[in-house]
Amino acid sequence: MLKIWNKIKTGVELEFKGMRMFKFQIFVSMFLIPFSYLIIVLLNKSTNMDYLVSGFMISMMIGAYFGILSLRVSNLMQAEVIELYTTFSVSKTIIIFSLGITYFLLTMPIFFISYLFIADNIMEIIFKTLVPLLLGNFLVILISIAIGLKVRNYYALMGLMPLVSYILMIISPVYYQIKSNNIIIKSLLYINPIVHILNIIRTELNKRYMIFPLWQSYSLIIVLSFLLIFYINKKLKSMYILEKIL
Amino acid sequence: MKELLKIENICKTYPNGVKANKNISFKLNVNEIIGLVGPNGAGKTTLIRQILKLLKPTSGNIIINDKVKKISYVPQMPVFFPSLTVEESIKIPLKFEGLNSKDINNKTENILQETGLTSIRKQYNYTLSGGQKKLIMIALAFSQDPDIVILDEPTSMVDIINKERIWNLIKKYKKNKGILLSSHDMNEIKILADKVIIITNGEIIYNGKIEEINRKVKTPVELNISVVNPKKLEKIIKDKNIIHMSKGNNYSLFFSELSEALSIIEKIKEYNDIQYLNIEYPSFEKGVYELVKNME
Repeated sequence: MLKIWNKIKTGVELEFKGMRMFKFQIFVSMFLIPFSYLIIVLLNKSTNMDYLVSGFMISMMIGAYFGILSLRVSNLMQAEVIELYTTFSVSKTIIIFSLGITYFLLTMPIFFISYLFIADNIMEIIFKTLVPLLLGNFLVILISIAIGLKVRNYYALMGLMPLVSYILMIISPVYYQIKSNNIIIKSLLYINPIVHILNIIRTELNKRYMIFPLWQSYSLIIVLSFLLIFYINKKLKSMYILEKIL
Repeated sequence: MKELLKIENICKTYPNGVKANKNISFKLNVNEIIGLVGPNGAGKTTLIRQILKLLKPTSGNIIINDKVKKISYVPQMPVFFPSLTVEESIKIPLKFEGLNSKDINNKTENILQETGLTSIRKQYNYTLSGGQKKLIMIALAFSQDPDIVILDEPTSMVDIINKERIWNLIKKYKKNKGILLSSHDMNEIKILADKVIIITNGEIIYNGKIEEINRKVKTPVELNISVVNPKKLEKIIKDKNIIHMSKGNNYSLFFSELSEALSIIEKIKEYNDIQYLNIEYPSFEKGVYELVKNME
């Protein structure tokens, strides 16, 4: 167990060190632009701070995991990169797990800074939303990894992921409330996992934000997570991994 | 543990019908370097990827000795993390090995010195030349104490000084290991390999000692000679029915084998004084070229 943990630690170290070249881009895209945006939004709205901040957290999740993690996983599946990793004493599963942890660690400070914008009872809010937040992160990380493993063409994914993020954000009440009772809109919301993540986090902040019954959202997130774990495991356990790439 | 790797009749057919390997069989023993030679697209990389378990053979077996714990690989293209320094590039894989920091530091120091990378240890990989990146990959491969090392064109893009350094490194680390060396540099194969396997169109067309390769190739041996008494030489040529050309006192005699040429020289020496002698015996490069060309 200790051996595996050390390998994961090294994998995280490798990924963080690998980011050094892009530190300014990361600072701008993950801190400067999002927080500037958040401040502008908050300056123009005096109410529903918790609603906007939780929406911001979810959009950051999508940006970090869909925008970067899925591309890193896809890059890992390039023939020459797989060949490179064969020279290391580490499994693909551990490398991918390390990637997930790295981007989670990179995104966590943003979540905690976001809490500061919700003025009252910060500790209480953190305590209440911690489990839904972790569960939400876990699901989006799994979705990003699964997409990265499925679409092994890095360049195709660079074009695809902004589109997927955009669609998922559009059909979810990230920054605005959807009050329509239209069955199509309701169905679209129901099949969007992002909506369920928003639902479990926001309901902890304020019961009136509830979109679907909590048990449904939790069940869906847990079932989907298990399915994704099964899929990812199947993809990574394939011994002759270049078979499906070449 | 003598036999590290045994390849038994492996075939690889890609889904598009391309047959990359056909009935490839060979063994790699401990303390042995096998040179893998063949034109581009011959199936060498496919073979290597099958040994690394990245591709599944369509048929046949790849048997790796149970005692083999680690196979290191130096890919043809030096892909590496651009944001890591040279030193980190060596240390991180050693951390994956589970070594303690003292061992990691010692091994890193040693390999940096041996590869001559000490002066650039703090440089980021993206600032390095292709040759320097290759050196890192080789340093990395040997620093992990592998039982089998697969080197895919280890000295392509490398200058002559570093080439020499890599060759010395391979010779030094050969002990207790088996090395599969794929290369287009015949000089490299001659210097390093104990035996050579030539692959063309996915098939092994030669598997044996380097010095024996020319027995397989019917390339004539050309003997250029000038003697004091040409008439006596012409008599020998006539008696032995030797194919020849002459220009003045200079004669070019052609033989199918080196041994024939040498016995004729002995005969000439008995009755004549040799003024000039030059034997053009086909080189290893020529042998490989002829073998590959005949198969295409």
